[in-house]
Amino acid sequence: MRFLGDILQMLFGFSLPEQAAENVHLVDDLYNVIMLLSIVGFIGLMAVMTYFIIRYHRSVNNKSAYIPHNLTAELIWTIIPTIIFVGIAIWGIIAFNKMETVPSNAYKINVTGKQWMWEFTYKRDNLEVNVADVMYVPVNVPVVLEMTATDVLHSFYVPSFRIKRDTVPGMKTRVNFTATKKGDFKIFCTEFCGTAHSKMRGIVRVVSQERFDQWLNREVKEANISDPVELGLRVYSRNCATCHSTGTNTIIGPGLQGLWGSERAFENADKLVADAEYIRESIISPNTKIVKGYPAKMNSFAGLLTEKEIDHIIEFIKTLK
Amino acid sequence: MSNTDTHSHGGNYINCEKGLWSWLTTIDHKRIALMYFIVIMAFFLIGGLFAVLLRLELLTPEPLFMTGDAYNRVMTLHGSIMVFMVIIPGVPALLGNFALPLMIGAKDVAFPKLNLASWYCLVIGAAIAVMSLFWGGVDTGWTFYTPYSGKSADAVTFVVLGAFVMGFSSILTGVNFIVTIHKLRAPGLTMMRLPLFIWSLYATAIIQVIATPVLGITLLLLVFERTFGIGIFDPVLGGDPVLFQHFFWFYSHPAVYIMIIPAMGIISEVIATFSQKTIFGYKAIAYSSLAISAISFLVWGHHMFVSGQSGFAGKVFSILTMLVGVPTAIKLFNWVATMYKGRVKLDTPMLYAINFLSLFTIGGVTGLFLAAFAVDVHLHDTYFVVAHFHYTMLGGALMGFFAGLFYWFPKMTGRYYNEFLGRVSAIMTFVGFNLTFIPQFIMGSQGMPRRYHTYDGVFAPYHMASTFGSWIVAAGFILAIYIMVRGMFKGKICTEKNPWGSTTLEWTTDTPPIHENFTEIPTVTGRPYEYR
Repeated sequence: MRFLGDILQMLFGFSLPEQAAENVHLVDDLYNVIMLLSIVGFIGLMAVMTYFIIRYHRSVNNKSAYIPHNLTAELIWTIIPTIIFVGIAIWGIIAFNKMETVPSNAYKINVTGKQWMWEFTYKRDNLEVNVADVMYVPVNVPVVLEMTATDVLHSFYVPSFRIKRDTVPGMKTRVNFTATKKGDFKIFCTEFCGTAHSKMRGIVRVVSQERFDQWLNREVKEANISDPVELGLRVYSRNCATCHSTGTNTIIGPGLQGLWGSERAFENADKLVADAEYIRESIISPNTKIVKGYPAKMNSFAGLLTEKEIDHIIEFIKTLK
Repeated sequence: MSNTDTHSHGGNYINCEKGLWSWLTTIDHKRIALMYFIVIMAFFLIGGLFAVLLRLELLTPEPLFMTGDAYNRVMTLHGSIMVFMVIIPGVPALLGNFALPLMIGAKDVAFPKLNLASWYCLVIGAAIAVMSLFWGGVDTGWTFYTPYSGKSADAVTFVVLGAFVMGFSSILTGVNFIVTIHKLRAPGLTMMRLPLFIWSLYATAIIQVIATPVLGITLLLLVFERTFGIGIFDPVLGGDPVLFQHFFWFYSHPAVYIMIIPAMGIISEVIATFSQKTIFGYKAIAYSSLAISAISFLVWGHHMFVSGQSGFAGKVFSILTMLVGVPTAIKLFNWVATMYKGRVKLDTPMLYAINFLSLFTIGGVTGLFLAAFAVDVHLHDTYFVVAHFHYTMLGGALMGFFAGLFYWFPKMTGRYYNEFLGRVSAIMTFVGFNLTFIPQFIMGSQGMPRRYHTYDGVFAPYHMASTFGSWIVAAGFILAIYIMVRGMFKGKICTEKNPWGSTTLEWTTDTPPIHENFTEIPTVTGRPYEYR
């Protein structure tokens, strides 16, 4: 049987993506068999039709026969397709059952679909790590994804693993696979989700168990830093860096170097010495005090940053001397 | 439309009354059919234009001339127009309206005023839907999946309400046809003597009447959810987005059979006529139409294999979906068997019918891949589905539609179209169609997702071939419409009652038919398709 499967794979495999997971042959074998039946059936029917058209063309045949029906023929072409079609259905169901069986030792990753990115959540010893768009998994280890979405429907599709499942807001869906090849494999979103639907792509990075552990350790460590300055730097890079440099140069707003403890002059308020309260106010209500010589372009970060995060930013700014 | 100097003595349905008002208030089923022709062809050209724009945009992996939002809107418009304004009304409302009373020896449909009301429902619904363009357009895809459609632009409300109103056009036509077929058959025309096109219209009408209200209610719920936040489909409000998909496909899967079954009916007429031979397996074809329409209600879940619906439901739907393939296969075999020992002639309608046979067969066998549960997981929402859908709807339903248009053209207009150019158009659409969609099967199998504005460079050669193909298809259909319009006004006059040598009743009356079809209601004494 495997031999036949391989021959078909040689014939039709070109139209399928790389095989990079354990269960892909379940899909590919059935795909190839249906392809064979389809091609034989289609060519057969077209050949018969073409022969009839030529052989019984009006220019060569001037008397048509009267054949209203033929029970034998009709029974044959009813029963045979029924058997083939139902056979394919049952095969497809059995294959699906095998694909859906999650091994008990499967490694769990939480997946969240959002407009327009994939977020992967790993857990280790009560610590969580969120990473975006690149999902690391160990090779030859069964993995189960528990998926949901935060806004609209998305669908998680890895062609090389032959897996796909919608991620639905308010609902958990699951899909599992065992990657058998190291390397990068594409993730596509296949449920229409708006403007950047076609850019909602990601990567599954299949690595050795050893590298996976190293990677996860590093991520866990990074995600659980307790140094407020380090945390402040992270908040700064995500939220402030587009407009405020860490030097004295201007991007859009003033640079932050030397800010702490210095005297500030404003367009619309009296001078003061920059302290924690002033920085906090500048983040929450930026237009109350506009630094002299700068446009009033900054939006309020109220509700976007937590109190803690603002504290961390202040600690970080203190270090910029 | 009317050409007074050539028909002034004839007194046929086209010239018996004059002026725009006489058309807009007509209750003659044949005139209403011509009014459908104008509306449907206009939308077909617009929907086709959008298709060509989409394909042009997809020529390169990176954006060519559209933004992501523009692409999504054009994609939505192409789908919505083609489904709701072209294919669904196409065969039943246009050709059905023209041929049904003639083929059963009736003076008109059972409710002529209701028939006119159906036309207005389509036009008003289409106008409401088109208004969405002035509110910035709709970008949800023609499927309006929640929660996206609940959050998207306000224009969604217009398209959804437009589809709701157009639904009434479909329901009313269905009711009209069912009553007409039951009550207005000529003496002696028993059900088992009905032409197969009538059987197909009957099977279609059942779906129109039963399934369309479900879509109507679903779309109204969507509008209520958007307007009042009632929380049927949005999980944030306590609703369920998967429920919307169940409701939507409960209509929209049978709806694809609203599109294909009547086209199958045309194919039966055309193949029998152009083979000059009695149809093979009349009963099997008639009953398989009914079987398809019955099973079509039970397969909607195959659109949701990976949606998160229960695995058990998926398995049941997989088997039922395979079963709907059986009556479809039977029809294909019967049509080919009809040509056996016939007298085949490859005129334009027959060439379009052969396009149908070959392309629809490919549409059918690729359906097997998608009905097989495990394989569908891989192929779902990829270009494989796009190609499969177009093989059945464009290669099937629309090829059948054009076969029918050319077949009844002399009877409808009293003129001939240009036969040579007709054949050229059939061949062009066939070649262009395959060039467009075969590459889509391959890239779909390789994992190219549908509804993508930008794509991975590895798929670029397939997209390029597909775009070139789309130009040939477009040219073929434009040529076909051109020769029809030209034929209407300048074609050679046809006064022959039966130019193709057919056996059904519409060919026994004048060409073009008189106002109430028959001077004397015919009596039927035998089965249709008695070519001896």
